[in-house]
Amino acid sequence: LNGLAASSQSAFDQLTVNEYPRGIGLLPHVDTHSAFEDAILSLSLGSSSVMEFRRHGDDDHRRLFLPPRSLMVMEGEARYAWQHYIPHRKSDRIAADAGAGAGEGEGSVSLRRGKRTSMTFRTIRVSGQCSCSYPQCCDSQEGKLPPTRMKAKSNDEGQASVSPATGSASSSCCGVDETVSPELEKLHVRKVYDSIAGHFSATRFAIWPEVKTFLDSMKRHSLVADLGCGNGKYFDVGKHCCMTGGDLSHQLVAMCKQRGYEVVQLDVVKPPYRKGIFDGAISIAVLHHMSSFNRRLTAMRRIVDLLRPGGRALVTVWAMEQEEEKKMKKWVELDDNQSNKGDFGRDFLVPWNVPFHRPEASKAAKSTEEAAGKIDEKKGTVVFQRFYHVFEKGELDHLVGCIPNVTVVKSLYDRSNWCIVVQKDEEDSN
Amino acid sequence: VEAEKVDVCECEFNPDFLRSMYAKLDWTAFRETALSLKLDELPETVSEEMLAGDEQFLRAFHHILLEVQIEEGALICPETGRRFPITKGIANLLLNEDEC
Repeated sequence: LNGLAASSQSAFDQLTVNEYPRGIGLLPHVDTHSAFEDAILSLSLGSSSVMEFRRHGDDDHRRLFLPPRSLMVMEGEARYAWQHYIPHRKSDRIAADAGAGAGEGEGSVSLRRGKRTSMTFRTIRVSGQCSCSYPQCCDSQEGKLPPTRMKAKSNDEGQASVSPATGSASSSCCGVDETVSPELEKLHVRKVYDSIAGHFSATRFAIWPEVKTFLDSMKRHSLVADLGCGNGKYFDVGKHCCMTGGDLSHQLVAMCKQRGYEVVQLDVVKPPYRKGIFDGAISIAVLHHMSSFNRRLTAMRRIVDLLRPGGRALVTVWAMEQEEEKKMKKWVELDDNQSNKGDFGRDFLVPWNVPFHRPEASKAAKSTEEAAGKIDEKKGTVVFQRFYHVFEKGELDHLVGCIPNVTVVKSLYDRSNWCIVVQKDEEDSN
Repeated sequence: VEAEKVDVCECEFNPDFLRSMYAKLDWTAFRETALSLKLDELPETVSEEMLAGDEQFLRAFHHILLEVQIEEGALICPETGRRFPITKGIANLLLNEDEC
């Protein structure tokens, strides 16, 4: 094996063996620069798979077919500057001639995956200092050193479902622990909603037909969760069900409680409910407040986790394709959100105007806190900035595609929002 | 569960609803919670017959599930001991950053 590396490095002295059950893949990551030398070898046994690569910082994206008993050699730019991942799928589309590129066009075939075992050979970097030519991705140079995935994973106790295989030092390039709410969200989601809650609630009365259709389709007494319930406007629509839920904002939850609903204060990234028991779940205009792909994926996975086999969830988010385009001119695009580099969609701060006559306005005007509203004399309002990751076409579907055991039932655009209905697979004897 | 203030709020009795709810509950945990509130009318195990027609059982189940509300207190994780406070009937289940 040692002769296979183009770069001159010491003999491979670290081996990770991972088992991938059918349907389970690997989240995007770059193997930590400071931990391992250049060349990394990966032997695939038992089943074929497809590994995908995406370059840090742009949209370039490649797919590599890995037949069983094949050895992949990853070094140089591919090892240092491209994230690799395995989509969570039960089968892959392969070019008919089974060439190295995984094909999708004419003559491609669908190849069922089975259980795959990988053996990954690495050389431990004794110095702990990487001096590669890709400083932006390098934790010894300009890249930030993220907490290890093992730390994040050790909090996912007792999950029988998805647990992506992770090598002991694999980590997402410039990534952060996805269960911790970043500063951006603390200031421009949570604090803002707490400040504007009353005014926000007063403007939330329209019942969306898609949500109504979804709730109407739930049987009587179904157990349904509303994650990010806001002022609770959908609890009434779902009154034939047993609806429960919650929101991040204490003020908004208190409003729901006053109306007699079963609510708690929660974070959709860590819902405090037992998994696998909900007949239905909705999360309306919530996921777009998460500032990184990993957090959005975690939230989506947690929503799916709550569902019983056969249960369904409806998730809606703001679309890049806005019906009132001129509204977007008031949005401020955030180019420097590190967690969104190379991903879909775009990040914005979107203004929320509270008129002077509202109690929320006078309270905010007195506050000196960061992310408190700013006074707009001309408009006669106090302006707050909310963080939004606005989704592009296909992005929600892609997010769901990263999760095994779930199928898309319906995916559509409605009034400046992308909506998706997903169904958790029935238990199968795999 | 720790309860400093408990309210009772009357609510419509619906046996069908109770049967659907029973399927979703972890009965042992539910019963233990009731016991910690000094409510001991719930049996250890529930049979199909009880769900079908035992009025006394259904009334007790209804009362504890829907009418007893904890206004002030806390939920306590049996594994870690972590307390999640309940204020004005709302449980705060947010984790602190260092517990993620």
